[in-house]
Amino acid sequence: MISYFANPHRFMKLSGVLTPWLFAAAGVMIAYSLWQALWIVRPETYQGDSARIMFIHVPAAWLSMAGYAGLAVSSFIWFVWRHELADMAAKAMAPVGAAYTAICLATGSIWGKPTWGTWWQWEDPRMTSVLVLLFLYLGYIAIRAAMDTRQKAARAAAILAMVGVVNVPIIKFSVDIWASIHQTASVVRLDGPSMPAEYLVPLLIAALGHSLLFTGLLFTGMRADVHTRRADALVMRRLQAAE
Amino acid sequence: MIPAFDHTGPFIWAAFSLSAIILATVITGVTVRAAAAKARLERLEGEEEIE
Repeated sequence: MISYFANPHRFMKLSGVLTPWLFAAAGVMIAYSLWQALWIVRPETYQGDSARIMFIHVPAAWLSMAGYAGLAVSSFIWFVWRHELADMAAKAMAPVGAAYTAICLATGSIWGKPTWGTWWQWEDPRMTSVLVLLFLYLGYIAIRAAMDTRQKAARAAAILAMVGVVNVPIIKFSVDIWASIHQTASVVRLDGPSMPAEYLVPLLIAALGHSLLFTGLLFTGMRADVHTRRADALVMRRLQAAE
Repeated sequence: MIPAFDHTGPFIWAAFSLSAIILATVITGVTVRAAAAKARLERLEGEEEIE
């Protein structure tokens, strides 16, 4: 199956059709979730209106972790089978994942001030592990930019992505293992979500909308890379013909 | 109609505005880069056809 989708021609054909629909569906779902978050849902019993920040903070947190897991899986596929599309996927995922991690950190900090009375706490395992995740994304982007050949960049970045993925379960379980001011999971739990449907449904729609946006941006980034490589191949061919 | 919030209103607007700015930046960056890559390939292919 991996080999079937690893064909660039097949990917370009499929992504060319899917990408506009992904953006359109993402736009509708994110708009709906914003309308629910800012106008419709009632203030939360204990946190009041500030709980509305959840509708951007939680999807961003999920996507920051899912994005890095995807980055590691794509890097592994490239590392083992040398499928170039997997490397393109990893490269395209990094800036989008970094953006969602930055949103998660920023909105978490803003939400923390009225809720916990502090913007940031260095001792908190959830906050610091998510900050480490942002540094891993930025390190991945920096390594790719620093290497002089595409192969070297892909290899070094893939190793960082595969090693760094150990941080994802640390983020997920940090609030269960160590003392944290951050609350424990209220949606992804063994005994089911503890959140009322009034909040849960718009939250899941927001998460789905942002996931579709992430995928649309991923496909757009990969398509740009395919175009760049084709153009580079044309330039190389011309240079060889001129010699 | 702009929604009215309790005393945490500025925090809510700050969180959503900042998120919108970050998302708009990454969407613009990715789409501009994609458009530039496509335009470069089309230009090179066009030159190839003329030659």
